[in-house]
Amino acid sequence: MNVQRLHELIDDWRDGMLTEQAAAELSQLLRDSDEARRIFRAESQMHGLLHQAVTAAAVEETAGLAARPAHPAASGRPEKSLRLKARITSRKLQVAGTSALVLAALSAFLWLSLWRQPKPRHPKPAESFATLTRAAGCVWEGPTRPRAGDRLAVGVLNLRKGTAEVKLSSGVDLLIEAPASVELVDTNNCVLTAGRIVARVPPAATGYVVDTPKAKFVDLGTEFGVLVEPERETIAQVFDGIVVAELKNSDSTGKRSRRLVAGETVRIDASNGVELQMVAFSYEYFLRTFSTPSVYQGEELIPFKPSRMSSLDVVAAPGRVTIDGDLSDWDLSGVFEARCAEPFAESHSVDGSMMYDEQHLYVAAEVGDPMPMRNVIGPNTDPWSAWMGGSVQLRLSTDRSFGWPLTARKPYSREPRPQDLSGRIAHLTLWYFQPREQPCLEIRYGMNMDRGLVNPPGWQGAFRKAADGKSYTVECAIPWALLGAGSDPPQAGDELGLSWTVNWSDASGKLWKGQLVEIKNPPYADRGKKALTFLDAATWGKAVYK
Amino acid sequence: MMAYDSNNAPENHTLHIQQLFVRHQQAVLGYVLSIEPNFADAEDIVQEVFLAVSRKAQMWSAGTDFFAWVCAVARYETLHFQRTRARRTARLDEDVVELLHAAGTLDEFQRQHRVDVLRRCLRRLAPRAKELVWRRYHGAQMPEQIASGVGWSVNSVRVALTRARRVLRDCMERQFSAGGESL
Repeated sequence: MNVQRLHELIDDWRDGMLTEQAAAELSQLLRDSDEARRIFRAESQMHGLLHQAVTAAAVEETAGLAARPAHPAASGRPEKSLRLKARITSRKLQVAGTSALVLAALSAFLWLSLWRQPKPRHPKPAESFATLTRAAGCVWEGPTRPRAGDRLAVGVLNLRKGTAEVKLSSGVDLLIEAPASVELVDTNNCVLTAGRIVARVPPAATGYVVDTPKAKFVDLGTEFGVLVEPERETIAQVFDGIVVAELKNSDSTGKRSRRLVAGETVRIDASNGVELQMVAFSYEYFLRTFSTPSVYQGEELIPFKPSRMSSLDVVAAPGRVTIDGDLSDWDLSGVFEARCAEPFAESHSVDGSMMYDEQHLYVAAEVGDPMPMRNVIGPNTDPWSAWMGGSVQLRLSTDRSFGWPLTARKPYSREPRPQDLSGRIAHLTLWYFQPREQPCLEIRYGMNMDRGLVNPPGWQGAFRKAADGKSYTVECAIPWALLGAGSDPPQAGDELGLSWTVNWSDASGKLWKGQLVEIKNPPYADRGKKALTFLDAATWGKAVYK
Repeated sequence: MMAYDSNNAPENHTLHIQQLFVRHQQAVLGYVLSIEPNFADAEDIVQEVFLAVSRKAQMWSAGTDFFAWVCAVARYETLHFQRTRARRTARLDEDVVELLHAAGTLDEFQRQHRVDVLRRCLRRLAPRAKELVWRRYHGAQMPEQIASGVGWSVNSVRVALTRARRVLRDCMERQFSAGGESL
């Protein structure tokens, strides 16, 4: 048996590159040889184990947990393990996983020393090395007040209002969201002292540094966002690839760096200056894509509208429900209708309905959308960003003991309360992944949203585009078990927290253009209250189960 | 699109099975990937397995090995999927797949033990190799996508991934040997 050839064929099998001829060759090898089968079993098993191991590592790194029980039987119910992960403090972490932390620190050190060595920290800057490529509603302060198309050199940009996009000659894109103060140092460095910035770094510019008062964030060929709120907090999110956060002061475990992968968020609390926590990923911190002026009305981003409804009737399903995007078998008596403010009232709207039975929650929406069902953000690669490409989102509670208004909030520095982390609070994102023509669902749990599922077994969804191409219908059935209520689903008479968000994209299916948030608690009906539904469940309206 | 019959009410036992399944979902996906290596297909198969175990819930009773039962269902569903719906036309002959997987699989304890060891080994992997493994298995990227992301050739990515897997296997074998076990 030619072992090398066998391994080549196994590689092709694993990577989906088997030709008919190679498949026949591999089949024959495996048929003829016990040893070949042993090798194949080991390699194929490794493929599955690696996926499981990497997924588990990613989930637990997100929660800041470096050690875990060795056997699944020791981990208890999922809700319990979630709570344990989310409540871990750095002190507990130190006690629970000292050896793992040493390994992680060593790994981070090696990582840094290996990849940073060849790259000079402050190469001599060019005369001008950047261009302000786009500017929307920009109001600048200070001596530098560029306009779109202007070349930029070393200097500080103070953006009081608006959104600006800067492209460096190295290929790095910076999206700056006001109010912000950014110093462009050179093609490898910038300093952010206040505001939000999203950096997209191509492979050739790997090593780009966003320096802040609390930490340096060093990219490894990726896309990431950094938020600096002076006197309050510094937050970094990784959307793709890997980033290393180098702390100016070590955290309470003595660590000076933290490696972040896609989907992870790190927060540095300004109150003590040195504590570093892993907090839940929250995709709505940053504007990742440039919004053209057409989505602004004055200074307000639109399509948008103040909420007018505080509740939605969730009616009992009348009988068999076929999930096919056709709502003729629905009881639509509980429907709500919402339209964006002018000039988008005709084109951007939603008619939303919900039904239930003992096993499922049913959700349906007819969404007015000039660019329907174009979302190209994949469920396997970047599900937490999928909302941007056009989506319907629901935030809801299935636990009647929480009552209404729901007091759960995203726990920042304070100790979380049980409802903050409850598996019976769910955030649903429904979208149509156009490249695979696939209805998709992401569920995140609790206000931390640090645990979630993508396209979980048991859910069903269907999307249907209208004949005129100006709207779509989404219909889905979600088992109560996936909403933490398998044994205790909502019943008639229950009034539980609920809020809807509809997101629209542009023609590319990935650039967010605006949103509508409806079913809100009246005191929070407009944006002036500075309360966001994904952060604070008190802003949610209610679902009234009929 | 599959129609859902909401009148066919599952009993509490079925709900219990569904909850158990959700707890074991990642392990089931890992098992399915050992038969069907394409991530997207494997995820679709896991959906089918969930529906199948829901339908067959009464066939399982508490006290017996839930994971082994689900893996048996998953093996059947995977073969069925490959016969009828798989995206790729070139695949192993069915008799060979049966031959490979008829002997059963790791039990839940063995599987979790290997995952834990593998995670320890992953931490020791060289940074660049680790990034590639992360992209392949966390980002579900194919070698062409990884190559585009890191600026390498596809062949270099494939070679590096093969090398990384070999390093991980060697690491696992050392750890198992130290503990008196074999892979």
